[in-house]
Amino acid sequence: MTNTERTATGGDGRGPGGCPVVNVDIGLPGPILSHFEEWDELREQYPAFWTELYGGYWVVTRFDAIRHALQEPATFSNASTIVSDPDPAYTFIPTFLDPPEHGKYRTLYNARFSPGMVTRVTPAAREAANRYIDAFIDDGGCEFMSAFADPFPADVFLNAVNLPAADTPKFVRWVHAVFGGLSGQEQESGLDAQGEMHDYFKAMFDQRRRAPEDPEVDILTYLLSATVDGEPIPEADLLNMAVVLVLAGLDTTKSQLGYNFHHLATHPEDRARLVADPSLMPAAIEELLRVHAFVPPARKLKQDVEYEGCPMRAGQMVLMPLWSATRDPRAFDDAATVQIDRSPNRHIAFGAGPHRCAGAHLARRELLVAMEEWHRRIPDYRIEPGVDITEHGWQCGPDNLPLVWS
Amino acid sequence: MRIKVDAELCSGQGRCYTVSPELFQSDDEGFVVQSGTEFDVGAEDEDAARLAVASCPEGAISLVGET
Repeated sequence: MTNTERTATGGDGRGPGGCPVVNVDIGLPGPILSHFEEWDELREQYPAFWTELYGGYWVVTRFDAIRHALQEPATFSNASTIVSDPDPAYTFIPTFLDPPEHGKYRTLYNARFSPGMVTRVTPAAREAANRYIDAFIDDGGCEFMSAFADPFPADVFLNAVNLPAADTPKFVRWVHAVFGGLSGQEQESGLDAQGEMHDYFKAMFDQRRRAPEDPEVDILTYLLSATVDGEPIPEADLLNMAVVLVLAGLDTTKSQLGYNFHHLATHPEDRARLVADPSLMPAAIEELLRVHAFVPPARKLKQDVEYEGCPMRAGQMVLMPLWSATRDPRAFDDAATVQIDRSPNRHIAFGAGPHRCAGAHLARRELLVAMEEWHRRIPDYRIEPGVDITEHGWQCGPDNLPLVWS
Repeated sequence: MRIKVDAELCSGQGRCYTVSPELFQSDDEGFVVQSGTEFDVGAEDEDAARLAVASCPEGAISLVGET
């Protein structure tokens, strides 16, 4: 399916207020990088447009307008962040909250997903990376997504929240079930998975109530002893918050690992520079985040606003794919090109404003540890010839990445 | 030169203390300690200051007197 086949352009002003209508289906799968490349074209044609799909919503495409919206929760609310569901029956905490309520919960995550925590868990992350590499290094190849990108973030996450690493396969399965659901497949098992996660965390919280651990390192104990507005957090909300952490932190890191290794597998000159000088890896990671910013946040209009020339009305949804912002040539020279030593690099791959990814510090460290350990042990690799690499839509990510080495 | 860090815009992205650690430090929650303050730096720190300004994804850091 080519880009032009799945994009119906309609710049004829038949949308609200005479704005363009472009019925691009962001949920469709495609060849790897195709969503980013398609939106490179859309962004240049349209600063904003209306889409009739999934119930109808606005789309904003450029860096300044996307960043500003993310910084303005009074207008662009998190009451829903799912374009097809502007009035959800549930409230993900703290994802669906706005300031000032949002901050009361968010501050709890900031305290536990801090740079200090990241430093503490780095040795375990390094051990985990090597453990997964040990399993396939002698095979001369692996399916990177399932052999590394799936389990490594789950393993690091479990260690960070002081849960058993042996539960990694459970978390990998749940993430598969939920994110399959968001792309339209396996919808039922996504709900089942959330139920199973609820049960799992309920058992873990019960265990911590009986035997509290050190709240400085055990986030479950920390949340049990935390207060919001002077009151302990009700159990339903605790389970909600725990599931949000899982949903936010695993599929994302997995996808970013996939994109990073896809780039390095297909750009041997960049890979060689990193192998020769690993001190370049942090800058390279920022650039790979920028070029592959796969999260498309959505907001719900809380008040009417004329935005990017379009009459947006309270109650409507607006989608703002971060990749459209971070690849905007108005914000970055040669924006579609990976320059692994790009500096400065003020991308918003982790979002902006109050809902900026709480796991950004941990994510960056996971990416760095994975890159360091992998390239120390497998400096040369390529994609298995003759295999199509594809990506899913919405929160995009590679579906497959068979790597081979000698 | 005088650096200003806007506390309303600072969301704890952490780029400033990563790229210019000589001028900025992280607190326990990952926000920059200097959030909500203005402070002077010498000419020897100009490069680090300008790099931090250019690296903040929120645009929270500015040089007072410059747009």
